[in-house]
Amino acid sequence: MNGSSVFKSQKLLKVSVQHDGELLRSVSIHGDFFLYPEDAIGELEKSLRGIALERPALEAVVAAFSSKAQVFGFNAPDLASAILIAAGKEQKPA
Amino acid sequence: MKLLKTGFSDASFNMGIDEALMKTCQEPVLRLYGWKPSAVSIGYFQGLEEEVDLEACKRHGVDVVRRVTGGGAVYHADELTYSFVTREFDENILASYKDICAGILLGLKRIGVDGSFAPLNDLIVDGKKFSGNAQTRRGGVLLQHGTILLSVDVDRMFDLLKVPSEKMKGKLISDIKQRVIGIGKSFDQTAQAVVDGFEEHHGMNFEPLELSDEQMQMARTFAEKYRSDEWLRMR
Repeated sequence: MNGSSVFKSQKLLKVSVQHDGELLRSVSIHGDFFLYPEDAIGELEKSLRGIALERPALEAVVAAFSSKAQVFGFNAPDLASAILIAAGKEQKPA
Repeated sequence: MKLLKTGFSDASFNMGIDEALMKTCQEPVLRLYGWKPSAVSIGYFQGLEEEVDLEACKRHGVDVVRRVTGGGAVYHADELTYSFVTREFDENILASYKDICAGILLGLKRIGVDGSFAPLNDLIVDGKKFSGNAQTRRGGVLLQHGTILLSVDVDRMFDLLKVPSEKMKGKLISDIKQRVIGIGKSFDQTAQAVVDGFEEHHGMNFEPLELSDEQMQMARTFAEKYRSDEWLRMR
């Protein structure tokens, strides 16, 4: 299944996902955020593949990544929200 | 500290020069430039098709380029653009933005624009944004580039950029008109003010710089990358 979401964090996150209802098959993370080094975005997307569509699991992966790269514009809970909304597991905040 | 004025160039060559300066950086260089034709640049992490109305850009003769830096989509028209490359910078990203922007703010104050830094990467005056800035760090070199809006054409900007919902377009345009402002000075006056501000902030005078043959060749080669579909449609 495919899905996408636009999530307003400090910057705007635009996320597209492929999933099977339980696991994240792939994710593409776009937006006007900053990440140093920039090339590491591929590593983040790769490390999220196969992760359970559950908030603690997603946040743990993003938090681990954030210790290796500097991210400005979103945090682990916000990216987890964007992914879960894209996968239809959470509702977009009103 | 060197000062490089490269005049007006197309988007790919502008980005090519910035990357060439980064690759060859020995000492700090401030570059001042403009865009001809006008252009839309998107941030490194943005989706091209998500952000830019490519047909509209083509119709209006506007270049489209992906930057090497993050941040949002920018319509480059009546503005002064700067880039600053240096090997000496604060490891703290917020502090380095603030330090580089301090020179700009000092200079603009001299011409009556009493702006301030709005973290992470904006400059504002009277609560309205007049400058967006973005930086990258590669190979021990920091590149920060940014715009100083002289005037703003929000309607044209929204012709060129995609909006999340056509229904909301009117409100979005009216919001942006309230939040963004041009400083109302000329390109040359603003350029001189930025030079003066950097000199005051760093306590030293600039020496003029011309691009070497090697840097020109590098800039042309990098420009080909920026022109390529592979780079433009990377995300």
